[in-house]
Amino acid sequence: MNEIFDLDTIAGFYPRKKADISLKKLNKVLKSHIVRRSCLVSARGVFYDSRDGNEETLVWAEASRVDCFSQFTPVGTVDMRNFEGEDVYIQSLRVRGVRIWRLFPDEQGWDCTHPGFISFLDCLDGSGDILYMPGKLSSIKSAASGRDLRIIVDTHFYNLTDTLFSIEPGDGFFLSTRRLHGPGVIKKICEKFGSERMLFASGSPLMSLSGALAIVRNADLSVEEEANILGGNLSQMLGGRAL
Amino acid sequence: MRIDAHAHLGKWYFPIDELSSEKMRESMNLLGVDVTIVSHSLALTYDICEGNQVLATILEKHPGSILGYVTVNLNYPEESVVEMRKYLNGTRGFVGVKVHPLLNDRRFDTREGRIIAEAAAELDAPVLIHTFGSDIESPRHAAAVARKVPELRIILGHMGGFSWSDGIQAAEECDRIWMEICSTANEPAKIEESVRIIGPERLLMGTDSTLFLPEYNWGQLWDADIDPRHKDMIAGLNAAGLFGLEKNKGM
Repeated sequence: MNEIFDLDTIAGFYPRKKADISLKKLNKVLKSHIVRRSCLVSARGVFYDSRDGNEETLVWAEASRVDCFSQFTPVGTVDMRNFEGEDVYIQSLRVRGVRIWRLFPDEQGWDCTHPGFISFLDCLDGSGDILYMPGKLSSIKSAASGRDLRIIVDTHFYNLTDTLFSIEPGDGFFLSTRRLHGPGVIKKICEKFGSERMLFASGSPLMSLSGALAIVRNADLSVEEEANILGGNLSQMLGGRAL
Repeated sequence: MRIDAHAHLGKWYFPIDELSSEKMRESMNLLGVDVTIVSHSLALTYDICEGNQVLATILEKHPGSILGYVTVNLNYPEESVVEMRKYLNGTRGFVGVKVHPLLNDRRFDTREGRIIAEAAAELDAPVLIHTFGSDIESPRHAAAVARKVPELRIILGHMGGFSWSDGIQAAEECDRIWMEICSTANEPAKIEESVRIIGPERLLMGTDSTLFLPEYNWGQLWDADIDPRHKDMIAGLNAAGLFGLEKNKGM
C-alpha cells in the first residue's frame, strides 16, 4: 500500500453550507483511509482572518506531531481582499515552517488579474515555496509569467484542453488530482507529462476522500506512477522535510 | 441492489476516454451495480430524435442492465412529447425522461416545461432534471412545476450541485421530488443533511458516468456518516421502487 500524502485538507467551521469540517472529523476521515500526512489549512483563514487562520494552522500542525494519527504540514494563506504586499509577514511564516501556500479566489471573489495576487507571486518568486490554488492553468500561468515559481493548480477536467495546451516541460506547474475525475484524464496527463506533475488532493473532510482516492487507484497507472501521485511527489517537493 | 440512476453514453466534448456500453457493463460488474439508467449525449447536446434512436439500439443489447431516459428539449416541447410517447411504451427499455435546462438554454418552469411535465405525468414516467446553482438550472424551478402538475415525479439530478441546500429545500416542499447525488460537489455532508431533513427514502445514487468515473461519486455515499440500511436504500432500493425494478440485495 502506498503512503498517502494529501495535498488538500481543511479544518475549522464551514459557513457556506452545513458541513462538519472540524479537526476531529478530519482526523477521523484521514485515519479511516490510512492517510498519515496531509497539508492543512484553517477555514478561519479562508473566510474570516488569514493571520488568525495561519496561527490556528500552525498550532494544529504542531499538535499533530504528538497526538494525531495523521501529521499535518501547515499551509499558509493570505486573503487578497486585504493583502497589501506583506513580504515581512510571509517571511516570518516561512521561518516558522510554512513552505506551502493556498489561495481561495472563488470564496473571496477575485481572479488572476488582481494586483494583490501579482504582488503575492512576487513575494514567492525564487523562494522555493509552493503555491496551490484553483483556476485555469492558462490564466495562472499568464499571471505568473517571468517568475521562478512552483504552482500546483486545482483545475476541473472540463478545462483539460486548456491544461494540455498550457503545461510545458519544466515550467514549474503541477496538477492536483482533485477534480480530474473524467475517464482517462489522469492517465492521459501521466502519459503526456509524466506522473511527476500530479499530486493527490482530496478536499477532505468537505469532499469525499474515498472518491478522490478511487479515481487515482483506478486510473490504470503503474505502481511507481501511483506511488508518485499519492504521496511521493509531494514529499519530494517539500524537500523531505520533517512533517 | 445497486442502481445508478444518472449516467450517460456517447461522446463528450472533452478530451476524455469514450466508454462504450460494454465498458459500462464491465464497470458495473466491478462496482456491483445491477442497473444503470442512461441518457445519450447526442440527444442531450444536439438532436433528441437522433440521440434517442441511437440509445434505443444500445438498450436492445443490454436488456434489464442498462435502461434509458428519453431525452427531451425544452425548445421543442411538441417534438419532445412525440419522443416520449414513442419510447415510453414499456417495451423498449426506457423508464424515464431526461431534461437539461442548461444545455437547452431554457428554464423548466416555463410553458414548454409544463407541456413536458404534463406528458410525463400522464405516461407515469419520472423526470430526471439537471439542476445546479445558476438561475437557469435551479432546483426551485423543478419544485414550481411539480406543484402545478399533480402526479409528476421529479428527480433533481445533482440535487442542485454545490447549491444542494436548495435541492433539499425543494424536496422538503414536495414529496414527489427525489434527489440524485452525483456531481463535482462530491460532499458526503449533503447526503447526511438530506437524510436528516427529509429522510433516506427519496435519495438516489447516480454517477454521471460516462462523463465522470463512476467510483468518484460512489465515494461520497461510502463516506457518508449515515445508517448502513439507509445507504442500501440510496444505493438502489429507492430507485427500484421509483422505477418499478425488482430485486433485493444489500450494499
